[in-house]
Amino acid sequence: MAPWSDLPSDLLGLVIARLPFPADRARFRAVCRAWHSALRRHVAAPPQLPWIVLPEGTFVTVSDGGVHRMAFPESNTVCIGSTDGWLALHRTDNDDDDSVDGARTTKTRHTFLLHNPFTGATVPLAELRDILDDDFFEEFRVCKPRTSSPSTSPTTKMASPPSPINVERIIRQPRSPDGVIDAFRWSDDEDDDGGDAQDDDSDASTNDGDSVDDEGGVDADDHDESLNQEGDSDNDSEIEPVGDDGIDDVGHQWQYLTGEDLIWKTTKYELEGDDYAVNGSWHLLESSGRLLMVRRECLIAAFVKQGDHTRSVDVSEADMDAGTWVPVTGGGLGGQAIFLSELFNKSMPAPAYGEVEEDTMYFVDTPDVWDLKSGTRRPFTQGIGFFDLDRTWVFPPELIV
Amino acid sequence: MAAAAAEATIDGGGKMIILISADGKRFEVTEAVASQSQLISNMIEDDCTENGVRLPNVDGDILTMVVDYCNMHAGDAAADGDTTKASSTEELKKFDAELVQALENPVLFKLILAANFLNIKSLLDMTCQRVADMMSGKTPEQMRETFSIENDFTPEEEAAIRQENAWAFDD
Repeated sequence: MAPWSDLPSDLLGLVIARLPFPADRARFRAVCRAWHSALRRHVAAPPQLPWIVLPEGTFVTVSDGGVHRMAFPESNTVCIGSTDGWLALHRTDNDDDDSVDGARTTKTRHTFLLHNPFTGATVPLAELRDILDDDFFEEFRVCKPRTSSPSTSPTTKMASPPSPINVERIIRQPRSPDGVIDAFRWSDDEDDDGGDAQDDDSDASTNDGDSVDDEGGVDADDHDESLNQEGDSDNDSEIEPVGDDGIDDVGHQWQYLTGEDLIWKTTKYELEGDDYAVNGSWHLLESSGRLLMVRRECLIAAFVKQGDHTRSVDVSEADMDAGTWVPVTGGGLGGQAIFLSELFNKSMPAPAYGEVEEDTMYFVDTPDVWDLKSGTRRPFTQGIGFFDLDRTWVFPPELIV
Repeated sequence: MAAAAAEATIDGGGKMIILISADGKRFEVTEAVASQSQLISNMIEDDCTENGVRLPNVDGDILTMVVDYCNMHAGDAAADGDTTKASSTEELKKFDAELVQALENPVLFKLILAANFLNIKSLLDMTCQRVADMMSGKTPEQMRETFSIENDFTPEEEAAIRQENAWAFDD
């Protein structure tokens, strides 16, 4: 009989590296003493670094740079967003329509679901199918399903930055007991580790970064916005209850007019020289009860291996009373680490014993980590390639080791 | 580099090397096949394979599998980028899939140790992946049964360990 409990610890480490899901690891360490100590040796204490999810389901475990495949619950599915441990998935199916003689047409069916890869739970968003049809996708892209806290107002809105035609699209629908809003609220409850006293998920927004809209509290948010563009504003795709007054003040904050056209922007992208470009992004997020605005520029040197990198970062904190942004100096993230992407931003505590470094910002697109105290950067994984905005973070449940 | 490649194509891997298992079985393989083991590759470089390579902790039946594996994969490194080998890539995948599926206790355990000792990375990756696949989704009780492991926790210890990550257990 093979003495599996005697397998040397470093070989057990190779097995553990191929067993990325925390639930498997939690059960692994409950098998016997040898495996228990092997897991403790090979897996960092919580909080562990999150995973990077690529649209088609590949994920990278940042701790060890491991690249794995994630099976989505349905086929023809891509990941279009995330919140904590949840993924927002978009499925497309082509249906041949023979109803008209001699004129076979193909219609694309769009289905949306929420999926938690750690529990296996899946929440179909059936109501969206009728709303987000082919016509919608001709002009729009759903790039950021947003979650919101419980609201007394049973209305959802989904808007997205359309291109090239700039039109706002708002979807409203009544709350149903098992419907969209409950699903999103559920995911938001897990999200709530810092701003738990506040329940109004209003987007604070700014024009030229000098004012903030405080609609009753601070909550996690993740808008990306262009840098330094006069009057530039943004409204990423959202699903969000409208406030009690029923006025879509959020949308008004983020849209702006140039001439006759309504313009939406998520990032600034400029060519500098012949062989590289600069991408500017603007992120809002909640961190330890504070509303932070992160402005960041990264250099995209697509022809240089490992050439893409974060060039500058500045962080401001909203002063709600004064209605101004106050620059955060001296590396003051209060021991937090911040994970940023176009699709989802999150702040988490970074205690000294863990693998998450305090006062740092992890950018998923480059991918590199910026140390706010020293103002330096370094790549944090070799597992994935060039600059890519479609990656997002997903946070596995904390594993006690 | 060019010389080595030429030699390999002329006589299928150059010099022959004798591998001797723990129970005295002898395997004659080409240098190209044997060099997939980093251990043996180093020995070849150091010129200490003249009288055969004794592998005191690898049994004959396990070494048979290792040699089969290395024979199948010998083309890999040598034929990098060679499109004429396209069909053999398919064969290789099939060979690997069948090998890995057939792996059961205690052969799998011994093969991991052999792959680790001989330092054959691709075989080590494949066997460790197989073990991980056998664990995935199983309860601790099922893992113990699969791998014939005795539960050496006290009931109190085990309860405490499960409680620490209670979300991962149905009970």
